[in-house]
Amino acid sequence: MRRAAAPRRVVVTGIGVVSPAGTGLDAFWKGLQTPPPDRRERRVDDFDPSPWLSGKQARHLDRFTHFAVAAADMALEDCGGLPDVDPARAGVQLGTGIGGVGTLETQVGVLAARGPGRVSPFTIPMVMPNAGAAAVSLRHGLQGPSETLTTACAAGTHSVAAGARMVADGRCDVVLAGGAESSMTPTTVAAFTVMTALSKSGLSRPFDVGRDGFCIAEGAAVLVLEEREAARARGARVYGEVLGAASTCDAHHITAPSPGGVGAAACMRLALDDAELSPADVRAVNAHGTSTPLNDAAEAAAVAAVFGAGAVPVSSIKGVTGHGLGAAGALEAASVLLSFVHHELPPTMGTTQVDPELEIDVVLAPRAWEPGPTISNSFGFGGHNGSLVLGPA
Amino acid sequence: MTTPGDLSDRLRELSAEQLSVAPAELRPDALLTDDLGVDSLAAIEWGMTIEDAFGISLPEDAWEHVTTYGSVDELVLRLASAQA
Repeated sequence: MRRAAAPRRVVVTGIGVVSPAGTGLDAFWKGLQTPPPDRRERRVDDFDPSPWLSGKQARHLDRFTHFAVAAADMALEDCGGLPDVDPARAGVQLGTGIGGVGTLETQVGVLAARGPGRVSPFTIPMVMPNAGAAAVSLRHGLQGPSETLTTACAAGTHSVAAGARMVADGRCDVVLAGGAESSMTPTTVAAFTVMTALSKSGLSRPFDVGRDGFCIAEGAAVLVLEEREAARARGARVYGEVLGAASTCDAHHITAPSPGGVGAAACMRLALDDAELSPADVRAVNAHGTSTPLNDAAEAAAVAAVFGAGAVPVSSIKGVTGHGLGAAGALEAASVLLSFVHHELPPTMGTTQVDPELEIDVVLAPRAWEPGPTISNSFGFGGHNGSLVLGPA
Repeated sequence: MTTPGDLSDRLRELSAEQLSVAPAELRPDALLTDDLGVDSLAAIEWGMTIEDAFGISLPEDAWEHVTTYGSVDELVLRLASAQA
């Protein structure tokens, strides 16, 4: 297979965010410092697609695609508009956990009430998980690869990594990469509830001794990834660099993490190898940190095993954002890049008493720091692990 | 009594909403694809709305024989009269 003749480095030049913590970069960063309402379901309450989509367009796209289009447009605006590249070398990697399940649920209702002849002809193109990627490519005329990874709650991280590889490999010069999710339907919420994954208290408190499950959320984040020299040549602002990434599977259980977080630890080590860094080089961990008893115990064990007990500060933004499933990793990558800009680690909001069993340094209040390589983790049902290593510009 | 004019007015009203266009754009010679942005999926959805509103059943190949708004109007009036 063809590979880039010379090494190509990948930088982030634009970020777009739609999140319950805030839409747009300023609102999002401020939201990460603000205690959220205690709600088990965290929606982007004030989201209005009309700045991005006509009424007719919006009606024929699922809400997760509304988010994807909005986040991609904001990311492109943030980087100064679509860079002037061959459209065939501009791609999209947009992950999701469950895609347009809200549309499917609505149409199941139509089928039951009015029969098969009244199911919307737009159902399939709205429900398909790749609808978000397709909409973004179509909107901006991006004719390179347009793909969707569906690795549950690891999809956002895997998509940023996959997008970065398309630039590093020389296939693309620009990639819009991230994740989008809006899958809180009566059925999915009931299903997560009966499997006891969701918090009963409505408190998202990662690594807290009282943590009792995750708060389901929605949102999207898209990063503009470019080859570093081209970005520099056009004078682009650079938020940071994608230094490395890894993807592994626990191959242990369909929903529970492998005991002791051995799968997560292996993934983080591989990502560090890919970045040609050692654990001592890493300045912060942006945790998956869902606030479920099992995830947080396994992830904390993995972080302590890789970096040493309490050796590196750990933040989880899910105390505010809740768990955005396939969007989560992309939102968290955005928060890492903003922590480079602000020279500050975001707090693990909601957490008041760190579980004494966990040997990690949980960042509980905004913490000033000197930006350095940061690892961002995502773990999904299916045992899918993703780790991304980001570095300041 | 419902006149053909009433039916045409009602069709114009629901079509304008369904297709997100101004009623004035629904001229008899308006081309479905080029002027009104009706692709194959939008046509199917529009057809469902028409069938429900007028209690008629459009033939499966209905959209193969119409290219303008006027021809849709004509088809609906004909079916409404025949299937009444």
